[in-house]
Amino acid sequence: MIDFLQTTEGIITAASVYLLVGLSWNLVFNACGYLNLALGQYYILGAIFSYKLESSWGIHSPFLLAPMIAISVGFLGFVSERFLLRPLKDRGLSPLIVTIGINLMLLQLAKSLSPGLVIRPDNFVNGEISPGGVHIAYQELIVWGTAIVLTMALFLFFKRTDLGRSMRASVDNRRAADTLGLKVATYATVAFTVSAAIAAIAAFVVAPTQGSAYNSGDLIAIKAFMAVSIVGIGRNGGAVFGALLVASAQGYIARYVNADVSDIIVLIGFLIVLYVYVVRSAGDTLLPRWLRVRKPSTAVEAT
Amino acid sequence: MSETAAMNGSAPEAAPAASGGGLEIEGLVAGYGELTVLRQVSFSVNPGELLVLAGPNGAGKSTLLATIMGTVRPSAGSVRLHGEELVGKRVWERTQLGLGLVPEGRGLFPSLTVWENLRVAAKAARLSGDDAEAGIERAVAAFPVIGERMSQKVASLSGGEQQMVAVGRALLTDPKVMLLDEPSMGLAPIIWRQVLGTARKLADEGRIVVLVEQRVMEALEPADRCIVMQQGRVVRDGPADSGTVNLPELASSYFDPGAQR
Repeated sequence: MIDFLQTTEGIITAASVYLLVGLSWNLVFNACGYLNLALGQYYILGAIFSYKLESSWGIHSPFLLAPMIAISVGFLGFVSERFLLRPLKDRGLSPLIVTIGINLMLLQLAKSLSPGLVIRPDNFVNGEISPGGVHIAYQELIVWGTAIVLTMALFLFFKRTDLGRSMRASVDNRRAADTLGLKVATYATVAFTVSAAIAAIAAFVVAPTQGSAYNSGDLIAIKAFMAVSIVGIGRNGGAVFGALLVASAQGYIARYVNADVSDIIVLIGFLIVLYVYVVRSAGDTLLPRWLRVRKPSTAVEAT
Repeated sequence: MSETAAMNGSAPEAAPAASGGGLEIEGLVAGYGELTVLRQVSFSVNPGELLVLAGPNGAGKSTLLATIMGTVRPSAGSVRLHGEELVGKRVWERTQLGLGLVPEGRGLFPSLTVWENLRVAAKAARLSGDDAEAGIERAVAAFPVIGERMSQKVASLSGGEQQMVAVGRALLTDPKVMLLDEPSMGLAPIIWRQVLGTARKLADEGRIVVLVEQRVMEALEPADRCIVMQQGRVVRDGPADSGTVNLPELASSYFDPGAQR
């Protein structure tokens, strides 16, 4: 029983990270209309910057580190969107391709700043609580708390602020937003910047718990993408559920079946979900003939 | 530019309906890239006048409205409201100067509530908190049903209610000019009659009302004047008298005659 609870505890930590990175996926998808395939690198730079600031500059206070990381990685996001993605998109280059390019550049940056394969910044606070024999490090509580606080903050931002409402409006009906004179392009920049900062903060809080490899950003981003796309990319409502689902599948399989295959099993599960999703939403004509399900031709959903 | 903006912004509603010929459009040339859609369009509309703007698809009616609102930039010509030049001003500046638009397809945000739709528009027009509240009250006064549906999502409203929200949203700034782009679209005939009644009422209150319509016959009844556009030019400008508007010719110039009922 203890063993099960301990596994569950680790799952909640993983789910917190998938939730934060998942919300970052949604932010860019909604406001910019494309997937930011470089997201994993903005994520991992949060851990790497935190290590660098600690080891080279001697800054240890998380209250100093958090804003410094959010601002510096957010700034990288801002530059990427404003000076690479937007101009190149306007010239007809697919944003997906551009984000792949940005991914490669940032991966090199991560590699050059990283002292070795694995970086492990210091815990903010050492120690743990152990209710009923389940060990929960303070650092993990910080991860959970960060996920809850940032998710609530995003929710309130979109629900209660004029900027948030205007951003939702421009996602809802972009043409009407243009007609009203809303600054749709600026919202895209804001969303991209905030998305990069949130992903970085996720890595910043979780890296001290088990360390992060400088090249592990993409894997986290892919799992977070699974979490949000299970409930539909762009929909924040089910993100918590999706994050828990992916983290649970991975965590329990790793503990009770086989640690080596958990990622593969989760990935296969994801492909099945994606397949069902594509067939349901767009019909299956995108797929090779042998994968198609016979369906009425009017399967395309009106949006 | 910023000085003018500040001056306009300081008293958006205080300016009285000054003398000057209402909305004056002169020699307007506009298009998209290489494509010229408007070729020297000129006309003016006076306060209290309900103008129907008719013409086949591609005649330039929607481009004309977009150029008046400022989302399309003209390459020549001028748009003046009570003597003040609007060309070169931004959308929100024009909104504050007194332009209100009900866009084609209503242009609402379906997953936002009615209140959020109004609030977003008020903020897009850069109204202050108090002015935004006053504007929302004005919309509710014009259409009480808006008040009842305030916290409902727009998507859950009927077509007629959505049209009221769209018109109410344009009333937020108490505009001197109301531009309605194809308001009949998707409306049942009885609701369409109500919208026409609203348009007449807005004109009777002293506003300039420009109604772009395909369903010309019904629209002519309450209207004062009818302009027909064809290939980016004004080909007819006269009273809204169904006897003198050459409807067969108008109908035949549509790509799809069936679209004109």
